[in-house]
Amino acid sequence: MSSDLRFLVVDDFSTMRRIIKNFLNDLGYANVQEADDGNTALPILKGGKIDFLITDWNMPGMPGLDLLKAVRADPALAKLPVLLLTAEAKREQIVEAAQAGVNGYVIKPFTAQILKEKLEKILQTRAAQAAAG
Amino acid sequence: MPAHETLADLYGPMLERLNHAMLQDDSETFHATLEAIKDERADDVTRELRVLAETLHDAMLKFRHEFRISDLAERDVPDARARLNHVMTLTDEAAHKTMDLIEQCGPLAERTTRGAANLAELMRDTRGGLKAIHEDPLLDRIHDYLTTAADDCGKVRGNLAEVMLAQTYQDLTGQIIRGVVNLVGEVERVLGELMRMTGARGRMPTAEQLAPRPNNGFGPVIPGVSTATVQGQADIDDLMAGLGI
Repeated sequence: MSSDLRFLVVDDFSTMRRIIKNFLNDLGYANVQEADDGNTALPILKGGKIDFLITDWNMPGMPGLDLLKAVRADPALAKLPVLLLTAEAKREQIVEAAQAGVNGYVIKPFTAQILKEKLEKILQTRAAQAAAG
Repeated sequence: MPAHETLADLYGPMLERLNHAMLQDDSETFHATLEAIKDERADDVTRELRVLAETLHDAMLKFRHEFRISDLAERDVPDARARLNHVMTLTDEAAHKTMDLIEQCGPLAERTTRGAANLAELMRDTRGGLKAIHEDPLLDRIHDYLTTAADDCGKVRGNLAEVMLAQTYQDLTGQIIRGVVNLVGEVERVLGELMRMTGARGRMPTAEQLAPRPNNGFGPVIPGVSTATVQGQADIDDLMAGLGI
């Protein structure tokens, strides 16, 4: 995996943003930006300098699912890898997120191993698609 | 109907008159008696309505003068919201303080791990060529200590990373508390409405103060409360795999 990937972490709790940022730093990813909901995240994403989006679902303002839909609806962002990292655990929600085009879904609380596996899986799938396409 | 009167007292004579008029084919008396029965019944309903209205009036007066209701609406419920918000602030501060210390300790543990491992390796290489040093038991102990110190500090670094992840409790409990804060706000709004409707004394909270915050999710799973949820990450992975992701 390339360690110069640029991440955007979106969560309304600063504690969670800091945890994920530290986790990414430990994995060797130093370029991590933060936003506290979809409304603040979208302008950063539209700036075009983000390679990977990790977002919470339940946030005031624009929730994660709406952010995911906005990303998929924007031709410039449509292929951005998106990982939902959330406490939302209803089956219907997971199905809804999958139908909206999420690339991975991790439930809180999570372990470092699970988050690492999901990140790697998404990045490997992307790399394979890029190589094939 | 007054409590001391029975149905027989009220309607008995009129029904007898009605029956008699029917048997006699006395249309005028029959219809006049029917009207009298109808009027008696209407009086009954009016009396019951009056009792009901008086009861309602008494209840509203009682409510209006019930200090506890206005205390709840004006003081206790907003207090409860403030207390819950304060709990969120405290846990947030505690989690950040913990993470400050983890971020300070992590590099120290890493530096010790690296330094001890480098020294142990250097000693092993140096002693290989010098027989006298090779047989010195003190140097054996130092070498063992450095190796153990490198391993232990590596574990400390790993544990610090786990402590960092454990701070997710602040997010999870915070989301649950925020849900309760919204609920308390709703109770406050309903109490305010009740006070307004009954003309109870006291200042009403504004709609802006009481507006529930947008909530587009259900929040963390709460045992015994949440339904139709998955049972952990493995369950989600199965579900996602079934959806081709």
